[in-house]
Amino acid sequence: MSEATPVNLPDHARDTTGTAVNKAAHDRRSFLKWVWGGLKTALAALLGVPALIYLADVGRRQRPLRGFRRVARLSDILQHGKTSATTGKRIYEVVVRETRRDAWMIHPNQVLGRVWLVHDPNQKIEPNDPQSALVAFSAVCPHLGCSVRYDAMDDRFSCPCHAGVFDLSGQVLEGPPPRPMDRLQVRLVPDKSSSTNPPDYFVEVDYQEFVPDIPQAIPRS
Amino acid sequence: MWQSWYNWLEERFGYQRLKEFLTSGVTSRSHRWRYVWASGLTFVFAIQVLTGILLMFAYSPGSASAWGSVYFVQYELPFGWLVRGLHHFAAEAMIVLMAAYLLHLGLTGMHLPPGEAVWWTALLLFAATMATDLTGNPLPWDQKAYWALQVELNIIGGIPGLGPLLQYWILGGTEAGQLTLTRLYALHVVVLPVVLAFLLLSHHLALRRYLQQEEKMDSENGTRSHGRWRPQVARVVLLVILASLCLIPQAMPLNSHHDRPAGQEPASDTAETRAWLRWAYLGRSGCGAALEAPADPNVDYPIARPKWTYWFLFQLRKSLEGPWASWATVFGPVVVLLVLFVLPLAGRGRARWWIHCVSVVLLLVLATAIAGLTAWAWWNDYGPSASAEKFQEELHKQRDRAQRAIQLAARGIPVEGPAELLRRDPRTRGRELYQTHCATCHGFGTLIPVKNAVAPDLHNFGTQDWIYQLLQRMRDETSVESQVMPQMASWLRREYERAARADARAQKAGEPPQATARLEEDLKRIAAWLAAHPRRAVPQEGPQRQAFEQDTSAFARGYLAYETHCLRCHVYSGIGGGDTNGPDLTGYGDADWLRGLLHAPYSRQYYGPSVVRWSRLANPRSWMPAFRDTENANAQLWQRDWERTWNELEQMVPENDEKREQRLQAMRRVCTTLHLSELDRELIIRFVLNDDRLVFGGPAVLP
Ligand code: FES
Repeated sequence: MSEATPVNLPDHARDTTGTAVNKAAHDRRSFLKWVWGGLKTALAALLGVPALIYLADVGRRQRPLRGFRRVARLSDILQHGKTSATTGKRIYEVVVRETRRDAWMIHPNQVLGRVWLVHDPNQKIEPNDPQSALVAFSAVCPHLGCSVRYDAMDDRFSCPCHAGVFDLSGQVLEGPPPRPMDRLQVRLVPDKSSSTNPPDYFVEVDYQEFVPDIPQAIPRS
Repeated sequence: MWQSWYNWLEERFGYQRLKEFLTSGVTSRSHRWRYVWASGLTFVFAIQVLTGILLMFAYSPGSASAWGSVYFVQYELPFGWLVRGLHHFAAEAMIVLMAAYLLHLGLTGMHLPPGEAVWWTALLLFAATMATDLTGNPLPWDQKAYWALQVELNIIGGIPGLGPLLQYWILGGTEAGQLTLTRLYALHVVVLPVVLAFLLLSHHLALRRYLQQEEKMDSENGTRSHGRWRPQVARVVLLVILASLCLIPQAMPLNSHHDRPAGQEPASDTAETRAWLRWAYLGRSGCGAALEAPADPNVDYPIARPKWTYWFLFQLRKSLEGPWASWATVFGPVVVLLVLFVLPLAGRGRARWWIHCVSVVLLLVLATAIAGLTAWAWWNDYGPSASAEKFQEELHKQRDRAQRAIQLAARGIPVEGPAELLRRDPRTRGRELYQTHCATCHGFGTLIPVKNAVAPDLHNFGTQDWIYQLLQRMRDETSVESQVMPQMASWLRREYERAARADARAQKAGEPPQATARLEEDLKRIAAWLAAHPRRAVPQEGPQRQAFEQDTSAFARGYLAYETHCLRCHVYSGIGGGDTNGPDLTGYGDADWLRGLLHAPYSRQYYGPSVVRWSRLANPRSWMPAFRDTENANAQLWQRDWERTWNELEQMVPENDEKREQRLQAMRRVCTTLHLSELDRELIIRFVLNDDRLVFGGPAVLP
């Protein structure tokens, strides 16, 4: 190390290592130096790695959980839904709400998303699997995520952003959307307190989001 | 290749000059112990800058968000406890190092010429360190920080002339809040660190000049040089001490497993808990710096104390009395600092030796005084004395609050701010409200014992056991329960007597006595049935009724027992009651039932008829007042309802009763209404029902 001593090292460093020091002392010194350097590196790693982990924020904060959420009563769709002129189907928009967590905060009752419910009153309702009697479409456009609206005049769904148009079964009629509107799982739960005949049902929807602008409906992770 | 890159850099930027400037003139002297302080301080400052930047990635200054973000760092971010802990303890270390350094400089006479620049920059550094610390302490916005800030700002406000202005500016108004935090934050993370960095640099430069001169003197005397390892070892030791301080639990532990709704477990709680992850979340075991309950100006905090490094000032202020006390607290230290500042000016030439002696004495006296005052302050709070005991008691209360706040925060903090956590927590706020509004009459188990209670204890209210015990206590004529519900109590005693007679008869006839046992069995059944807060209607006739009677469910059995014993006086789902008009037991003991009861305990549905019938009107204390919001939009509605109730009550008193006027007067006296806001009412109801959910308003999720 004496040879490698940079010019600008303080004088005493040269005094002690440069001239009349014997080899054993020199070895001991370099060994100590090595150990010391190792210790320092270890210590730096011990604190540096946690710092990086902290910064990387490895804790997973998840998207709102999946699951069926109650969004309406079947009678609401019949009463308040718009009636399709051509098919007699009822079209009704509902809002899915959920308590959302944003880092340390919670926002109770936040809007997760909007859903279009298309109900065909002429078909028999099969509560656990309503099939075509009750269909739920996510209102998120499969193209780039604008909000799809129901266009009562033309009796179809349309997206204002890039003029995507869908029919009542969600198929693309016009425009850039690469796939039909995304269907969500839906089920009906009998409302025990209802006194009407046939009994009223709660409509429950399993809301989820899909990757936009690809031909397949792949849920966002 | 590196070389050419390096050459290019050098040619274009000339970094070498900077490097030479920074490293030139470092001599053997720089490794004497008294010079190690400066390098140690710089090192700690570097830690502060690094951990400070890391904290800034999560911290959010704002009265509604600060506490939450600190909670988040401490409990939810991996290794957040370590980053925050290091920042916290390094701040304390900086003050301690600074003080020790000044002492060392003064005692060795280095503050006198030619070292005056070293001394002055060190003094300024000390002041800037304190300022950085004082602006940083309130940032977590917890109770301790908030109240300590109040004390400090009041002291600042006591400075004549500039004080009130300064106070106003720091507060950003007249009260501590949003602007206070942003201002303190700006000072703490930008202004003061820049000042500190500048002072540190100046200090190092001054120190270097000083060393060069000392070196010259020493080489004439032939003094040996000192070990190069000293600053390095000092740094490593410092770091190890700071890191180990973080491992001492100072914060409240968080049992996240119980209090978190399913599916929201943080990563560490999921199945693949890895070893390093456990380290990452040591903050949940309380490692790192303490975090108290969120700041809440509404909550009494009688134990406001500054950080321990300022206890001496606190104690000084406390032990001084009279109008000039706050003067002394502000000007005492300022005068001392000024004296220290001018000392070197006097220490030129021949006076040097004398001034050195004076400084040594002064510094030793000062150090002893500070140490003494600090110890005194400690003794007052932690020593064996009555006031210390009180302090400890209060401290425990605050710790409980902190613990609860953290448990609640794990479920998420409302946007309105973390103070709402405890304000809307039945277990905390509900309990306090119970204490003020209910505990004059009702006890609550061992949690809120009430001497001479005049109404039943409500601990475990509405549970099967509670109902059964209530009935049992009614058998004793002197009990509170039989005094507030005399009609019911006398009926119960009669039932027991009848059962006892039946048993006696059976015994005479040589049959096993069963009547009392059966009665108790029925009472238990009824208690269980009521504890389920029944609201379901029961078929009264036809085949459905027959089927119901054969039903063996607890509901059916309970109802049938109720029917035999209670139906005569009590209403259930619109049936029964007769002319005795006992309280309606539909949904007995659930939140709705309690809500109605609190609103109008003397309505026909509750205890109204017994008000009229029973002559206990003479003892108003045994009557429960109505509690409702007398100020909100519904107040008028309730007033009308109350008038209707009153009319009903009035009609119940027979016209020909000769004591009618007297009775009515007494009734008016006992049927009082006390104000209780809707939120407070819900808090009390949830507290009584042992329902732990926070009380929030807002629209319901479902139609
Ligand atoms: S986003 Fe709907 S068409 Fe482009």
